[in-house]
Amino acid sequence: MACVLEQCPILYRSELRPGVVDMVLGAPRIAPLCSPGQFVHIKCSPDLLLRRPISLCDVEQDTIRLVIESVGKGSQWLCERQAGELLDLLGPLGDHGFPVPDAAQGDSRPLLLVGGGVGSAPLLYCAKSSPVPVDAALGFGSAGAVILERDFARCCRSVTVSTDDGSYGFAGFVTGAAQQLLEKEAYRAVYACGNMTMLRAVAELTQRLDVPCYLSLDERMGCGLGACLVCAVKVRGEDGEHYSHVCKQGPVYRREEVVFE
Amino acid sequence: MSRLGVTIAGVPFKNPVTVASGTFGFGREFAPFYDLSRLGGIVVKGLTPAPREGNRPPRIAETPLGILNSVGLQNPGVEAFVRDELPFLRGFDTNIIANITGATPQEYADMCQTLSSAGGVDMIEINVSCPNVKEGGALFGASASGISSVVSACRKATSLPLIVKLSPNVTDIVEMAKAAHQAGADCLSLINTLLGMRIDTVTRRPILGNNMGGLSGPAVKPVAVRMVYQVARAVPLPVIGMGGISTADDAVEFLLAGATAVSVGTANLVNPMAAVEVLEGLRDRLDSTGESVCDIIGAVIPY
Ligand SMILES: Cc1cc2nc3c(=O)[nH]c(=O)nc-3n(C[C@H](O)[C@H](O)[C@H](O)COP(=O)(O)OP(=O)(O)OC[C@H]3O[C@@H](n4cnc5c(N)ncnc54)[C@H](O)[C@@H]3O)c2cc1C
Ligand SMILES: Cc1cc2nc3c(=O)[nH]c(=O)nc-3n(C[C@H](O)[C@H](O)[C@H](O)COP(=O)(O)O)c2cc1C
Ligand code: FES
Repeated sequence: MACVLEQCPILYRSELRPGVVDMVLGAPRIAPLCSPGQFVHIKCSPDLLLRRPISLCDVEQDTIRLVIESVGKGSQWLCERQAGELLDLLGPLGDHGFPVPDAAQGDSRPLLLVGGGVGSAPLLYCAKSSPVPVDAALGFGSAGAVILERDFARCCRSVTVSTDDGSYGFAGFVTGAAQQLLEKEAYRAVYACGNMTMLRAVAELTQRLDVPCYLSLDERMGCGLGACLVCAVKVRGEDGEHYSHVCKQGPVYRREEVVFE
Repeated sequence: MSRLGVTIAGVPFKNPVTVASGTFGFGREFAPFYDLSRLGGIVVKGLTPAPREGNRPPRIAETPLGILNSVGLQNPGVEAFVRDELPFLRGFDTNIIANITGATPQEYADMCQTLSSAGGVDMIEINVSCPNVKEGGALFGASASGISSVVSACRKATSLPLIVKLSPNVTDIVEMAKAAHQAGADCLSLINTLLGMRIDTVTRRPILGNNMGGLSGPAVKPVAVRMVYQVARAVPLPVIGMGGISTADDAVEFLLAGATAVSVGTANLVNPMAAVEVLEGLRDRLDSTGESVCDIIGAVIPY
């Protein structure tokens, strides 16, 4: 799939909460190539060699939106960038994003998106691109950590926010909120992004309820292009388990493929 | 020959810039970025007799201006390479160099035979220096006798030019270079990665799933330049220099140290255009001084 190198100006930047930055970049070459679930690979400060993978949170005609959480040197550097600065992007990457639901076959069942923390960001692009109704269940640690609730509310049929400590919305893990929704109504599929513990719980839940499920996986990356083979995750194929490369064959996998170790 | 051309073991290179094994796959991922025919040569991902799945992840860790990798030679095997990848690579006007690792000298020799009879491979690079596999690989590269046994077996199995890729994880690189020369090598390439390790101080666990891995990138460049310098003076074979090259200036440093050609490795992971940017920078630089590559090979003026 097509990807390009592009120097992208930061057109807009704001803080969603301390340590999480929302930015819109001018990316006239990258934007038209994008689809939901894909990511861009961003060069950080000169003293950091590797690019950092960041998901597309939203894409307009010639801009892309990213939501970045500061968790280490690279992401912190990215979060400190200001409007007007240029970022060196490679993208869009990931040949397998979230499938865009097919509304044509008269199947009007809704789609359920399940996000954990900053893992909610790529699901917004899914919600916006979906031709079928979308419900979102978004989980955060506490009330202060909640992001993107209003953005999802604008394009989803319903948004359920959960907090682990019960300080806002549904009290408990996001899988609890998702379970309530899944037990009430027949969904066509569940798309999930978040940490491995959450993804495993979503996989178990959807398997039990027999709902198709797609998971976006995380692995440390080098090239982002499928050449260096460092971003390996174990997947189950027709002929047994093997390593797949998240940057190219992912980042989104069917639940049945993912091997939780 | 143009200002950029060099000849290695009778094989003409249109320019001295190649890409290093394991950082360029089989070329497909980079073809959308530039015409691969611009490169002097492509060294493909390390091949083994049978397919290998590679090591458990994580396989990469960042270090100050470097990376540690522990891919562990994941590859589809030499036969799948010949069937599925070589025809694609043959479509480009550049030298194709197959990089091989075996568990025994016989395995190396068998791969040499397979690759020679396939046609379309210009040179074979014998990897006796992969730090990421338990059997073979670096075991052979760690002693002169190990290198001799592998290189002699390959020499009998093929008439293609043989490049021996040396490990920096040895006490005396020159001794290894001499052993490769005596056993019939046509060219030497160096350096492979330096064995290293990183530990997460919070979890107290190694960052790499394989515990240890190979260090590459700008951080290793001075070590690589030094080893190229020592080997090029001691052994009458052409040297392909690598280790941390990401700019034309880096490449010139290796050429001055005595390398006849260079390989761009880790830089491909950071900037897919890295190799052609090195090439363009080198061309501009030679144009401005009126020199050709051959004029600067080994032209360092030591004290
Ligand atoms: C496909 C994909 C999409 C992502 N999308 C987003 C996003 O939209 N927003 C966001 O905030 N974060 C996202 N991440 C996670 C983000 O890439 C990491 O938080 C970031 O790389 C950390 O870099 P650092 O230098 O701050 O941390 P450090 O821990 O200092 O990084 C050291 C090295 O480890 C790698 N690394 C560390 N954590 C991760 C991780 N979780 N995943 C992959 N590599 C990691 C870094 O890239 C770097 O090479 C995504 C990761 C992947 C794989
Ligand atoms: C991800 C990765 C994979 C590699 N795989 C191989 C390999 O399969 N065979 C080999 O001989 N060298 C391999 N190498 C070593 C490089 O070819 C090169 O010798 C080394 O990285 C030093 O050059 P650099 O600093 O420019 O990367 C690998 C290096 C990296 C970073
Ligand atoms: S990051 Fe290089 S193959 Fe995935």
